[in-house]
Amino acid sequence: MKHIPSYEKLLTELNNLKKFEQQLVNSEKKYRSLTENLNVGVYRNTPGAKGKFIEVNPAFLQIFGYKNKNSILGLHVSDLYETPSIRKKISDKLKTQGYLKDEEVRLKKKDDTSIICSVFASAVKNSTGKIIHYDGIIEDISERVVLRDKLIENEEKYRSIVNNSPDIIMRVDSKGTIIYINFKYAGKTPKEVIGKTIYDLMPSEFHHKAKDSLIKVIDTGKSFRYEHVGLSNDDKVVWYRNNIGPIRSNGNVIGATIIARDITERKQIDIIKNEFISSVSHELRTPLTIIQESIAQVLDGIYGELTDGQQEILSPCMEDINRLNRIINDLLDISKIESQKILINREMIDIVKLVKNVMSSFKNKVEAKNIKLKLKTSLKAIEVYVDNDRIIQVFMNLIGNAVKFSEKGKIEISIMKSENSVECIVSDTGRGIEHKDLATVFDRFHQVGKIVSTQEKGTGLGLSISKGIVNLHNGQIWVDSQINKGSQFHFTLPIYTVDEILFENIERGIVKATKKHIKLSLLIIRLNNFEEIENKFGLDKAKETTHKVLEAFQDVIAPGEFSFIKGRNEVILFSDITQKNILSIVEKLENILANFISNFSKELDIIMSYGYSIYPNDANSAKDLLQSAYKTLLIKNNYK
Amino acid sequence: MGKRILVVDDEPQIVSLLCQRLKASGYEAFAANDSYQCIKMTREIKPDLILLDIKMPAGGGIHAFNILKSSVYSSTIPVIFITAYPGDEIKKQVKELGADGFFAKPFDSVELLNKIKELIGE
Repeated sequence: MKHIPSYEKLLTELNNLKKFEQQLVNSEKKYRSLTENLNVGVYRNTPGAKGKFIEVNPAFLQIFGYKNKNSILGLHVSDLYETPSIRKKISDKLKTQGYLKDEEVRLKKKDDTSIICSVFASAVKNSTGKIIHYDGIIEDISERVVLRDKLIENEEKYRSIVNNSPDIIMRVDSKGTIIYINFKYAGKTPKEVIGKTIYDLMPSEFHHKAKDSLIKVIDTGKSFRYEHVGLSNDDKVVWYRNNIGPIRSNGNVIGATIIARDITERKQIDIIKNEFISSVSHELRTPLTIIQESIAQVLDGIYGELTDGQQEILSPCMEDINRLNRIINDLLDISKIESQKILINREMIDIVKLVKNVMSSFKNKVEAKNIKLKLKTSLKAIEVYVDNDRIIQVFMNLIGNAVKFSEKGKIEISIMKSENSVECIVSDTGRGIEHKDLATVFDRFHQVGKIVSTQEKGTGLGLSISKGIVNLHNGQIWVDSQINKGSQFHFTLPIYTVDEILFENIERGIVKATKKHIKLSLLIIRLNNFEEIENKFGLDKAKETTHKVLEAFQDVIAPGEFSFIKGRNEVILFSDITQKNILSIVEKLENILANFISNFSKELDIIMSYGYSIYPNDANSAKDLLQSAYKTLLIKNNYK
Repeated sequence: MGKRILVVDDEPQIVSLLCQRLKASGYEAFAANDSYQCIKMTREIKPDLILLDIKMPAGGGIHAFNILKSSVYSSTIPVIFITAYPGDEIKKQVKELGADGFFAKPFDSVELLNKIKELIGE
C-alpha cells in the first residue's frame, strides 16, 4: 500500500521548502552583493559560436567603459575581442579544458581602445553533461603588462650588460659564498664556482685582505677594492682587481657584488717597470761610485793642492752626486714598495725616542734658518710595533720637507696615543700647499712649487715613499694645508696587542715554514721567580733578568728570526731550530743567566721553565702551536 | 811598513781608486779582480784586511768569503763587503755570515777609512 503522507507532514515539507527557498534567496542576495561589490569583472555568458552575455557585474561594465548593463547583455562575446578570430581559439580551449586560468587576452573597450585582460573562466554543465553557460572573472591588467614588459626589457638590457661585460660580476652572501657569476673566473666555469667561497678562488696569502674587505662592506655598506691572484687550474697567473660593494635587502646589507677586473697585463707591465727601475738603479751605482770617489780624492788633495777655482767648480759636484745617490735609493725604494718586495721588520720601539733622534739630525739646519723645532707627546714613551728604519725614513721625509719649505717660524711634531692608534703630526708654519695640489702631493715625482736653489734638492719621491711605508704598516697618511700659513702632515700607526703581534708572527712563520718545507719551533722561557727577584732587588733588576734571556736568544739565533717578551717574565722565540738545538739553546741560556745573576747576587737561584712545540709535528695553527708549547712548560730546572 | 789591504772588485777603476785612497792614508794596497785572484793573493801577501765586492765573476764575494773563512791561513782576516746591491736580502745574508763591515756603493770614503782604522789601526 502506498503511503499517503499526512497533512502535517506535507505542511512541514512545505515549510522546509519555504525555508529552503528563503535560504536560496538569501544566498542569492549574498552572492549578488558580493559580485556587485567586487572590483574584478564577473560575467556569465552562453556557449556557442558567438555567445551572449547573460549576467555581468558593475566592475565588468567599468572595465569595458559601458554605463548600462543592458547594452552589454545584448552583445556577443566576440564583439569585445580586438581580433574576433581569437575568440574561437579561447572558446575552444575553454570547451576542451573546461576552464581558463589567468588567460591573457586582448579585448577592446566601448570606445575601441584596446585593453589586456586576465580571464579565469569555467564551463557550467547540466546533469546530462551539456555546457549550459560559462562563468568567469576578468581583470584589466593593461598597466601591469606594460610595467612587466618594461621590467623584462630592463632585465634583458642589464643581463646583456652583465653578459657582455669585460669584467667578471658576481654576487656573494655575507660569508663570501658565490651565488651568481656571469662567466669564467681564472679558467673556472660558473658551474664549478657557484656554491664555493671567494676564498676558494685565491691563494691563502690573499684571504686576509678579501675577508677584511667583505666584513667592511657588510659593516659599513661602503665599497672597497683589493687586488689578488686568481687560483687557476693550470699554472697561469691571473691578477684581479676586485671592487666589492653592498647588496641590500630591507635596508640591511645581506651580501656583496664583486666586480673583478683582469689586471694581469697591468701587473706584468708593473713587474717589468719595477725590475727595469731596480736594475737601472743598480747599474748606476758603480759609475756613480767612480765619479764620487774620483772627485773626492781630487778635493782631498791626494793629487796635489787645488786652486781656488778648481775647488769652487768641484765642491758643488759632491752635493749633486749625493742627490743622484738619494734619487737612486728612492727609486729602488719605490720599486720595492710597488712590487711588494719590501721587507718590513717590525719590532717594539719607542716612537718618542725615535723622533727625538731624527729631530737631532736636523739641529744644524733649523738653527741656520732660525726655525724652532718642537716635540709634543701625550706620553713620555709610546711603544709601537713598526719597522724602525722605515719609520725613521718617514719622519726624515716629513720633517725634511717642513724644514725645506719654511724660512722661519716653527715646526711642531706631535705624537698622540689613542685607543687604537698612534697619530703623528708634523706641522709647519711654512709656505703651505695650494688647494689644487693637495690631492696629488703623495704622487710620484710631484714637487710643489720651486725650492730656493741654495737648498738641498729633493727627489720628488719622498712623500710617495712615506705613503707606501705608512700603508705597509696598515696606517693612513694625509695632509691639511693652507697656502702661506703652513702644512700639517698626519699619519697613523695601529696599536697591536702583544697577543696580536705574537699570533701574526707565528702565522707568518708557519706560512714561511710551509713554503720552504721546513719546521717551525716555538720556544718559551719563563722566569718563574720573577717576583722573588723583584722583591729582593727591585723591578728593574727583575726586568733586566728577563731582558737578559731575550738578549741571549738574539745571540744564538739568526737575524730576522723572532723573539720577544710576553707579559713580564716570558720570552718567546721561534725559528727553524731542531729539537736538539732547542736543548742546547736552553743550556746556553742557563750559563748566561747564571753568569748574569752572579753579578748582583751570590745566593739567588733562578727558577726557569721552558716549553716548546714544533710545527707541523705538534700543531697546525698558531693558536694550537702556542698552546702546545705552554703544555710542555711544566719541565722545570733549577739554575744556580 | 804599513798594514796590507787587499781590494777585490771586478771594476778596475774602483779597485785603482780604492788603492789610491788607501795608499794616501798610509796603507799598503793590493788589487784583485775576482774571487779566484782574491783567494790566491790572500795566500801570497797575507793581508791584514780585505775589501770585498759581492757581485763578481768566478763565484762572487760571498763564495770567496766562505773559502777564506774555512781556511786556517785566512779565517781571522777581517773582511768588509762593498756592494752595489745593498738589498734587504743581501744585508741579512751578510749579517748571518758575520762579516766585519758592510758598505753600499757609492760609499763614503771617510766612513770606510774609519771602519778600517777601527778594525786594524792605521
